[in-house]
Amino acid sequence: MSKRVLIVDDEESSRKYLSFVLTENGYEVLFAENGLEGIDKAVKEKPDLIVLDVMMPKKSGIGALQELKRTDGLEDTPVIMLSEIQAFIKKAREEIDSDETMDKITGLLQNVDSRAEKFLLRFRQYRKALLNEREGLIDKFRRGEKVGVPVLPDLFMDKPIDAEDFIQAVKELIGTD
Amino acid sequence: MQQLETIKENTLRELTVLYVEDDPLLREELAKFLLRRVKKLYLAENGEAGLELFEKNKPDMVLSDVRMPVMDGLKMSEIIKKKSHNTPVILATAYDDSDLLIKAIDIGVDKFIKKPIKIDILLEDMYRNAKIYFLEKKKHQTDLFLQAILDGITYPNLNNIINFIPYPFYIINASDYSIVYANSSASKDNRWMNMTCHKLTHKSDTPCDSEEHTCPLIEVKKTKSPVVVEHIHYDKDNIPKNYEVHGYPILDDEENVVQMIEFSIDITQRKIAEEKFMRLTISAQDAIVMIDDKGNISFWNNAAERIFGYEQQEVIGKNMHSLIAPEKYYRKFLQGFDKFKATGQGNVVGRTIELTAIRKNGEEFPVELSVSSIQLEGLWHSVGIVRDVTQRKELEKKVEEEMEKRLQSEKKIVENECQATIGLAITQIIHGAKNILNSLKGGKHIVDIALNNNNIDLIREGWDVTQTGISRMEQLTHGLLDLSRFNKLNLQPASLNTLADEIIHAFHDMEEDTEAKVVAETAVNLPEISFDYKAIHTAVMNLVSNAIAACQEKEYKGGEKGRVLIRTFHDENYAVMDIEDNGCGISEDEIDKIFALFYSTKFSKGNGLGLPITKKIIEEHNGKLEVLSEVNRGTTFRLKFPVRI
Repeated sequence: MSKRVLIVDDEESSRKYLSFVLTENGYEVLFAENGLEGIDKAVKEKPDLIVLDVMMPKKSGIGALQELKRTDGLEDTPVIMLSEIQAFIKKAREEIDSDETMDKITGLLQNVDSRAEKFLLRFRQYRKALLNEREGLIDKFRRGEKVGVPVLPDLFMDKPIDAEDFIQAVKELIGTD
Repeated sequence: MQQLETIKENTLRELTVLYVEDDPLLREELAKFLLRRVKKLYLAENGEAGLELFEKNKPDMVLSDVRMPVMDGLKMSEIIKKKSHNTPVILATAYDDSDLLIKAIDIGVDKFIKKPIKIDILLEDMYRNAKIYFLEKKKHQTDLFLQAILDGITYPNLNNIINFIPYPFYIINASDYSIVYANSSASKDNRWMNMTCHKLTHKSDTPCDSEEHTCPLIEVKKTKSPVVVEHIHYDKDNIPKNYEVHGYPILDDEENVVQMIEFSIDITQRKIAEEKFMRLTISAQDAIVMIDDKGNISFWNNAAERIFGYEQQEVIGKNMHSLIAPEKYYRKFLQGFDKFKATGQGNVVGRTIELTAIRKNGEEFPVELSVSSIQLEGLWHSVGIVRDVTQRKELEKKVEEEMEKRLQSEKKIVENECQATIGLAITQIIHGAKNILNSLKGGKHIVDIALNNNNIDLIREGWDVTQTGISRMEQLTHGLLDLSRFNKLNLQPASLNTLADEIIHAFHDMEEDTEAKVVAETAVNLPEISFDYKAIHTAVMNLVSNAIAACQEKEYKGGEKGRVLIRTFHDENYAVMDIEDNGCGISEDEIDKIFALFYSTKFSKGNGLGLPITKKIIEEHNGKLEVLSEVNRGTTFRLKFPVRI
């Protein structure tokens, strides 16, 4: 059974383009036109990967991401955010009220230098460890105390999207079959 | 002039004149003229006759020819001058004879006039000499009067006069301080009889000897000349008052002081004024500095001591400029000072100027100086009021600095805002461009693969995606162009109703797709206005598109459907067009931002240019764009165009 990818983007041409690339490479594609619809589809269909645009009506990519990652069964579903990192931070700053969360997000994103770290960021446990280490809270983490985790996508990809890069990223994240 | 002439005429009318001339014709002619102008005129035909008349009548003035038979004018003048030196003598002569002139001056002739006599010159000379003559005569009488007092001679009525003058007047014996005479202002009912001066005026049994009350008699005896002292005397009503006491010595033949005339002037008022002045100057916050006609300090108040740091005794009599004024002012001061000494006028007099002064410790500090002039005993002094404005200047400087700082920071804020706006604009344009590029790239990718596979259907699909990108690129470019457009409006008279009809027509075919019905309600009485049809079309299309988008955003319930209404009506001076929708509405937070450049609520479908462009177009037409909105109820945009009557 082929892996399923949910594309959440309000722009039709973008949806057409990405779905073409994905189906060409043997993935099954689901669509949603805005954040709200995206969450509904994701909860119902449990896709293997979610591709999220940031600027969307009804619910933006930021809001959708927050909710998806807090939904049972979707916490570890990888997400590709169709945005540049700085634009994401800017948009997030408009939507997220908590300074603490924003500090964590920018702290994590702005200090990501190596490709390895960037890649590893997608793993929730690593993210948690990284965050706790940085804050000197390893002990706390070891004792198993709950620590707020900022909601980040697994990968940022800025438009215009290169078909080959895109499919390579998808493969890296969820494999082919 | 009139007045002066009158004074002259009156003076001459007081005058008795002796006129000596041997030429009968000349004599009669001038006599006829003078008779009408002087008090009395005596005529003589030679010196001898003139002398006789002079002895007999003692005229005030003599006017005479020089060359005459029997006795010439010069001889006669000599004798007259010997007898009465003060009588003015005017000689008329036809000759320019220097010997004669020197002799005449020796004799004491007062004036020469040339023959033939010019009447106006003669009158002028007569007036001048008469004036001096009368003044001297008066002075002589005063002298006689004073002499009479000093000599102790009882002058007719002198006693009465002295008794009634308003100043206390005494004659005191030098040997025992006893009062020989006191007038009614000094003592009532002859109480002074058998009293000493100190008993009467000080109620003291011993003569004054304190420093505040030095005894004038002792002084007069010592110096044998008049003295002035200040005393507190009991007046005739037994009230103590401040007096300025004048003492004059009366000397015997051996120059010994035998008696002293004393008279006192009540200076209570002056004292009060002085006291007031002192208090004023002491309490004054500003330095009060007076300099005399030599530029030396003659007055220095407490504030001056405080401000400049010099004690009064350190500065009195010192040159003001070298003490407290910076050198840079000295030349200017000297330039003006001579004029000031002569007239009391100067460049700084009567004005307030700002300059600097120097304290004792050498510190130069800013002052405000106002200078006025006063004449004391014929000499011009200047009084400067000096205000230390150091603190004020510092404050002014601080305020100025603060203002500058604020200005700078405001400038910076504006710059930052400007940069932020530009930054935002660029970000948004790039964002738009990226999306467009994404469509183009996607289209290209699909077409590439379709070409490789010879798949015509796929080419169509790819071409669709590409076209989306192209049309969005067109939208963005047009939008940016509209926004930066500077070309003139093409104003033509037309009706907004025509425009409304055309727009609903354009949306007629799309109704099914858009899920929102676009309808119009036009007013029949709507006046035509002048507007750029194309521009307003763009503006209204933007608003209608927004309205449709707002309807799409809303989830309608209970059979309600999306509806956009274009309504026109006439409102006094305006032709109005409303674009009203029943869509999602705009929240209060957002309503302030909707006209901002690149602000969009439509995400991928909007580029944030529509409303700024619309607003710009309406404002270029001197119209107004108003917005009223309620979340989930709908939004109305109102366009108001002025109707020219």
